[in-house]
This record gives sequence, C-alpha cells and structure tokens, in this order.
Amino acid sequence: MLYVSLSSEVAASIDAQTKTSLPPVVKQAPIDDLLIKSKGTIQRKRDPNFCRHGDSGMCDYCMPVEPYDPKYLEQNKIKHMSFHAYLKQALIANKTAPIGAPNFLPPLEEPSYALKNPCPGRTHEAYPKGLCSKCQPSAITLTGQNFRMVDHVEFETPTIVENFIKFWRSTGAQRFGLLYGHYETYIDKVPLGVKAVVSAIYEPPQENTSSYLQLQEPNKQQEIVNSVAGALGLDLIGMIYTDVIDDGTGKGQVICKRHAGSYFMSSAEALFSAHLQGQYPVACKYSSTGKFGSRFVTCIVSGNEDGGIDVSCFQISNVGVGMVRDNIVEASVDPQLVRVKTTSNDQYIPEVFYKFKNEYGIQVKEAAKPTFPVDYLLITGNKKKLSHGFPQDPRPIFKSTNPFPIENRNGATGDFQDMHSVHSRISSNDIVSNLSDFHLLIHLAELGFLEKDDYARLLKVVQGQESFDAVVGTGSWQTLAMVAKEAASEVRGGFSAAAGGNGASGAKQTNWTCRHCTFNNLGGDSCDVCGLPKDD
Amino acid sequence: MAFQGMDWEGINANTPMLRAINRSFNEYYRCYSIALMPGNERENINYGGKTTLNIAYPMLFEITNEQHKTHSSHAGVLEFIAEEGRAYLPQWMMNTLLIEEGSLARIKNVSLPLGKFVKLQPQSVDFLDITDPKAVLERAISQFSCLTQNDIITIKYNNKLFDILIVETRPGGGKGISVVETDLEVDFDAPVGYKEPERVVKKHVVPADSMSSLGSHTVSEEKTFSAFHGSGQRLNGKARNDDEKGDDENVKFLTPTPAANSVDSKLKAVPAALYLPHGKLFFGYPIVPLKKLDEESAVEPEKFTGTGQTLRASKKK
Repeated sequence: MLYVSLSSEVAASIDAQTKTSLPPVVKQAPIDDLLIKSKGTIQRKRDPNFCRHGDSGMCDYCMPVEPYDPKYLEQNKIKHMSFHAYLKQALIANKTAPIGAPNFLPPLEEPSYALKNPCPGRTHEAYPKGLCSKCQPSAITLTGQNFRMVDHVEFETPTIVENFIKFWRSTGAQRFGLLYGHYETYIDKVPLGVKAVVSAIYEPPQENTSSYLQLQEPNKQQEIVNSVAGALGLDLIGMIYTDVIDDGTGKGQVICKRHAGSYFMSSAEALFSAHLQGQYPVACKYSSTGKFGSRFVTCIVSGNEDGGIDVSCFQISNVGVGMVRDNIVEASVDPQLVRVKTTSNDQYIPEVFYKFKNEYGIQVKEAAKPTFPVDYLLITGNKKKLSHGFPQDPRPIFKSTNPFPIENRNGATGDFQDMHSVHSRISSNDIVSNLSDFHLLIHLAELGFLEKDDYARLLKVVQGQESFDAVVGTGSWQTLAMVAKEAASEVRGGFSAAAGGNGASGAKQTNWTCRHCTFNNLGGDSCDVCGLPKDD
Repeated sequence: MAFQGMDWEGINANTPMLRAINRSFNEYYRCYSIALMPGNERENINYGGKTTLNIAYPMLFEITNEQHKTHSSHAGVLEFIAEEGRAYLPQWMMNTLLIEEGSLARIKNVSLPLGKFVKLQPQSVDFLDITDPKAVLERAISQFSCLTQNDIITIKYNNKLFDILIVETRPGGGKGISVVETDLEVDFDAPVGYKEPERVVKKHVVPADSMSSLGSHTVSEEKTFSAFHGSGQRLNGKARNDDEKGDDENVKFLTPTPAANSVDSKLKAVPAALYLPHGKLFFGYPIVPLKKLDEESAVEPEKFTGTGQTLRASKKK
C-alpha cells in the first residue's frame, strides 16, 4: 500500500488559497449593526374597522407589518423605504442563509458597468478585439431607486448653517463646506430609518467667486481634521455648498434658480456628488463587494420659491454612483442633461435607457444617448429632496456660544483665526465652553503646541469625559496659553497674514475707538486703520 | 416680353418707316423694290410669299423712343392682330421707353445673341415670399423672347405683380439677349429694400470672463455626420421664424449638428461636454426664472373672442 500525503508547503499554499477565497470580514458602522439586529416590524393596534377579534387576539389586519410593506409606506407617504428595510426585503426574497452559515450568499450587489477583463468565458481576446455577452456590461435602465441610504438630515443647531452662510453674506461669493457628524436612527418617521446629524461644517481651502468655486487640492489640513473628527466620534457625512444670488431689489431676497422648471442639481454637480459618494461607501456584510451605497449627502444652500435662503439635501442613486465610478457618463453644458459617452476603442459603453411618461401619458422607454435628464440620477423624494430639519431641543456636541472664526476664510467675514482670538477664548472663564468648538480644536491641532496625549485629553474634556484640570496643568498647555497671551498682547500681531498691525511694543491693552474712522483699536496711540493719532 | 398685340397687317412692304401709334392713322406708303439694302432699317411686315424678306428668326425687334432716342428696348412678337400702324406694348415697356399713349416709336428688326447669363434684382422684398422662385421665373420668362439690360420687367404670380430689374446680361454689349430656347443662368441681387436680419445676441447673467464662462470648459466636437441637416421649407410659404418657441426646444436635442463653442449653437444641438477640473463647482448656468402659477394663468390668451353668428334665419311670420 502506498500512502500519499501532501507536503507541508503544498498544504500551506492550498490553505492560503482557500482562505483568500473567503470574503474579508466586513466591519459595519455601529448604526448598521444596531438596525440589523432590530426586526423592524411595525406594531399595530387592533384595527377598529376590520379586526373581528378581541384585544388579545391578532389577525391579518393588525399583525405587525414589515418595514418594506408597500401599502404601509404608501399610507404614510413614505416614497422611499429605508436602506435596512430594503435589506430585510432582499434577505427574505433571496432566502438568504444567516451570515454565519457556509451557504451564505450576499443578497445585495453593487452595480458595475465596466467590461469584465479578462472575459469569464475566455473565448476571445480582450476588448476591442473581442466582446461577448459574458464580459460586456448589461444594458442599464434608469429607474428611480425605491430605497434611500439616508432618510433625513438634521443640523444640530441653526447657527451651524448660519455661520456657513455668513461668508456669502459678507462677500457675495459661494462657499463649500464638509459636513461632520454622526448617524442616528430615525425610526419614528421611517421604519428602520437613518438620519444624518450634522455637528459642524469644516471649510477646506478654496477659491470663491459668485459663479464658481474651486477647492484647492491637496488639502494639508484634511488629515488633521479627519483625526480630530475621528477622535470626537464624528464622521464625514456629506458636503454643503451655497449657490445664492441676491435678486438685486435690496429687500434681502434671493433668486430662486433651482426649481422644478430648471434644475435641482446640475449635471456637473450630480457627477461630483456621485464621485464623492463612491469614495465614502457604507460597509455592508450583505453585499458581494463588502460595500453598498453611501450615506454621503449633498446639501445645497440656495433660494427657495419665496426668495428666502433654504437648504436642500440630495443623494445620488447607486446606479448613478456606479456609472460615475465606471466612467461612462460626463457632464454637459446644459445643467439639466447628463451626457453618455460614446463607445470607443478604449471603452465599451453599455446601452442606457430611461423611462418616462410621454405627451400621451404612456410609459415610454427611451434610449438615453446622447443625453438624459439629471433627475434620473437623483433619489427622488418629495420634491426630489431629502428632508432636513433642526431638532426640537437641540443638544449639540459643540456648545460654544462664542464661535471661533472659521478656517480658510482669510478674514472675509471680518474675523481671523489669529492668536488673539485663541487667547480671548482660552483665557476667559468659560474656557470649557469655548473649547467646545470644532474650528478652535482644529486650529489648536494645527498650531501643534499640544502634545498628542494632551490633545487627546483635551478632546475628552470637550466630550465631557474628563475635567479640564487634567489638561490645564500640562506643560504643553501652559506653553500654549503663554504664547497666546504674548501674541495677543501685541497690537493686532500674531499669526494672521492680513493684519496690518503696528508692531509697537509696550503698547497699552486698553481698547479705544478711533474718533475719525470708528475702528475699534486694541491699543497703541494711533489708529491702525486711518493712522490718525489717538487724540484725547 | 410679350406684346399685347402687335400687328403689322395693313402696312405693306413699301412703307419706308413704321409708326407705332394708338390712334387711327392713314398714310400712304411708297413701294420699294427688293433691291433695298439688307439689314433693313425699316421693318417689313408683309412677308406673304416673299422669301426675300430680310428678317432673322426668331423675330426680335429693337424699339426706340423717337422722342428720346436713348431709350430703347427689345421685344418679340406675340400676335399680329393690331390695327394698321399700331403697336401695342406692355405697360412696363411703355414705362421703360418713356412712351406715352400714342407717341411714335421706331421699330427695327435686329438679331440678338443667345443669352447665357442674366442677373436680376427684384424691386421689392415681396419677391422673397415666393416659395419657388425658379419655377415662377421660368414660367414668366418663357413669355419673353428677349431681355434687355436695365429694363424693369413686370411679372404676375398668384395675383401679385413683381417688378424685376435686369441688372446685367451676358453676352453684353448694350444689346439685348434672346432667351428663346436657351439655357439661361440666372443670378439674383438682393431686392431693393432688403435688410440683413439682425443677429439676436443672447443675454447672460454670467459675466463673460474667461474663468467663469461655460465656453472655457467645453471642447468643440468633431464634425459628426448629420443626415437631415438644412433648414426645411414650409409648404404654405411662411417663414420659419413664425414658429412658436416650443418647436425650437424639441429641435435642440434631435438634430445632431456639430456643436461649436458659441453659446447660440449649443442650444440647438446636443449640448457639449463640460469638463471641470477636479474639485470645481460651477454655478454660472443661465438662470431660468421661476414661473409663479398665477402669472401663468394670466398670460393665457383669450380664444375665440367675438360674437357668434348663426346661419339659421330666424323664423318669421
């Protein structure tokens, strides 16, 4: 008898192969883990019209209803079910085994519109030499997405948005910001719903005019911002930008340029949103790629129908994100239309169709080449927007009532992120409250006076987990406080670039108002702005 | 030009000079033998039987105003039914020659060269409303035997009269050209009173600086094949500008005309691609103002105004 066994190296390599064929373990966000666990069924009371049993019985009419039940959604005017409702529906429909089982097959798929290279059938060479039905992407029909990844957007306080809009109010130029916050359940309005709660808006370095804005990349600040946000438990949840034009009547009203008759999102903006949504996906164990969709929202501040300034929140559908990732669409000069690229030797573009009701009221399927309306990329909701709001009793993370000047504005709103403003906040009695400000924390991180551990402790103080005494005693904090004091004691000196202050040493600290130009000077005996002496 | 009726009957071959007079006229004529010079000055009508009638076919004549010998034109013959000594001319020819009713004219037989080219200038812009000027002119000129430079001819079409000035004829040389059985090349001058249509400049809210304009971000496309380009013609003769704006909106997405950088053409063709650098958001699209609902209902025009009339006679008695 001859016995054969695998040598140890071969056995190891086979093990490695089988191990790599298993999907890597996906770590979901806490909100997803929370909602997955809940059953999501909606309890109903005994229906007085139809139930024919007593209080302790249950029948079809009062049975708890599933979160994806279409009749329930229609009754409550929920046009899109939440993502977790959709997931539950998919799990039931596909009879998916529980996640630990060996025959677990993820029910969700991410759309992919690129050619499969090399072809799975292996009967021909790569494109453009060969193409078959196995490797070519299937035709796309743009239908509305019936679920949403995010059901509501909440800003912790109205001042967050107000301070953001202040830039436009002062300069007339548009502004861009990144939304940092966290996710919470929104189950009272939408079964298994998720809401995005915005705690702060970070404004990256950018170039602003009234008709365009350009982000300056690479952004060196971004890493610091991300680490501060991460330490505070905040994620990047979206972006916001303004598109406001004053209507010129002097009444403080603005032009409503985004409405049903024109566009809500231009094609270029929609593709930019889709691009960012692709970069911040939601980790999902139930998707074949480990990711599914994105919760990144796009908020646009623009004029509403009454001429007031309002926020509208949008998301691009997963199909749209897939199309942008696989690079088959491009923006057009007409904001209402998206162009589909034409098939070339480098790239095979699949057929795209969209459905709409034509003038005779019939559902018509039309080829989307060369263009199709942008609306087909948006997750349509009521008026094509996600709902947004402010909480009834605000409990914001950042509680500062003395807001620190916002970064990268270069003094456009009249205040600078200079040492003077730092000093005024860290030397006051309300220091803990003043520190509860995202922008100040970023600035302190940038200044780099605090050691890593001290800074981490500072963040804990802000979150209320430690008392401030733990930080104030540290050497690095003392250094910071001293430097701030020194810098602030100079007349308008410090680190701000645009200050035109005198370097006069030994200047007085008293504030005085110039009689000629009414500028509020911090000290010195001649006015900083008009140069006239401080006559008594 | 077609004569209303120009008849030479009654004037025998011996007349030394012919008169075109619209009143009765009696004259004696002298007879001359055939030894008359060829290329005769005087028209000889009586060609009954005499083959020595020195006349070139087709019969074309040069008519000169006796009072103003500089005014002359050329004409052919329609019919020979007029009274003796009379010639009936079309009105426009009487105008051209500055002849009044009954004045004298010298009529001389000439042989005109076959015409190759003629340049016409309509005297009014109404001529532009004709849907098929070629057919109209062909029919009209078929009534003519010859054309003379600097004549203003009148043609009738669809119950309307059109004056056309003959600007130039080739072969030239001051004489007319014969247009009988030739292929004539026709060219047009702009009609009198024609104004170039003004280009409408589209207003934009966006300031036209290089960074913010849409043009700086678009790339002109290569020429694509367009199967049915061209402006199209309406059957009823109306100009295409009368269409409502709604048609243009439909056209702009269906015609695959090549998109250029200019903003005007982009509205009528497939919109060009917009290439923005990464991280740039552009807001400068043309603003479509919001239509309020109450405004819309006010704009709707009144239809079917006016009192109605009934055909049914009221029953009397």
